Amino acid sequence: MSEIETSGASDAIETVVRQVLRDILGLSEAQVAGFDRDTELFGALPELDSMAVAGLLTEMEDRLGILIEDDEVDGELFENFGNLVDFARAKAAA
Amino acid sequence: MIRAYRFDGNDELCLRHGPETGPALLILPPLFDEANRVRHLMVETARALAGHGIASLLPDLPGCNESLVPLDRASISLWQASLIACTEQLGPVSHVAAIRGGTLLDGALGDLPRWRLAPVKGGQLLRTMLRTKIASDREAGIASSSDALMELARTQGIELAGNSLSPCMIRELDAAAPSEGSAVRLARFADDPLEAEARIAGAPLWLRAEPAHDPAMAKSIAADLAGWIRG
Repeated sequence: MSEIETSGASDAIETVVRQVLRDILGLSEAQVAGFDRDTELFGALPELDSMAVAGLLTEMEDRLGILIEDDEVDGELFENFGNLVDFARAKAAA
Repeated sequence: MIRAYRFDGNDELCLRHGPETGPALLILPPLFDEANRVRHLMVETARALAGHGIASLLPDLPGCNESLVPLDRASISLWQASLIACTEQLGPVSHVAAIRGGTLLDGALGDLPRWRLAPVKGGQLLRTMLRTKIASDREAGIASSSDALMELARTQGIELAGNSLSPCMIRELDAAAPSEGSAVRLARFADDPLEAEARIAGAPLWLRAEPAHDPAMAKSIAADLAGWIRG
């Protein structure tokens, strides 16, 4: 299992993103702990349909105290776990 | 046991579990799609409560579940009025337990003791539903935005994620927040670092992409509710 390079503060954000994915997809703690930057999301996880993505975005907003605009959401964002974490970090830092 | 209550010229169904006397709990599940994902959990919780000797009402809201009323006739205020009718006819109830969007309705019966899990603002539920609409519009080659959709929805109503929502529902849902109450017991999941009066073993099943049931969670909720109601 590869670790994502993080600073202390970002670790918390990455953990939140993992927990949101765990809750939406019904995965175990061990399964989401195995996610690394290259873990594919959209396309690889059939449960991640538009309804699930909508719920995921709202949960991320709620748990990270961020606001995600409509035009910030595209396919690339959900391509892999790394993209989603980078996006969450950038939003939380803004 | 399946009962019915009369509201606005229609019969709405309500599940009643437990003894005919003693304390009775009104159960308010999450709203819209989230309600469907935890239906099994809610019914099992009511059954487990009956095992603790606590009666409960689990009503259909007009426009939801088995109700024959079209959803576009419903609103937050209409749902609150239906809960008053339900508890007058099938109650009385002494306590209210609400999850997620159910907490937007739990002030309907005045300041009864309330139990809440994962309270949410109406605007947040609306935002998620708007996002599914934006995503499906995009797949159809239509560029839509939350602001433009909301403007339309406030005057003409809108269908979001299969839910026909009237202008009245849109306005009320957008503004709705869990009401202040003097006797609120806030429950959180065991792994939630935030403060809470009650801890539940389980996970937010209302978020699940694929509906699932967790028998242990139903038992955990029922045990906490029973202890709280018995004081």
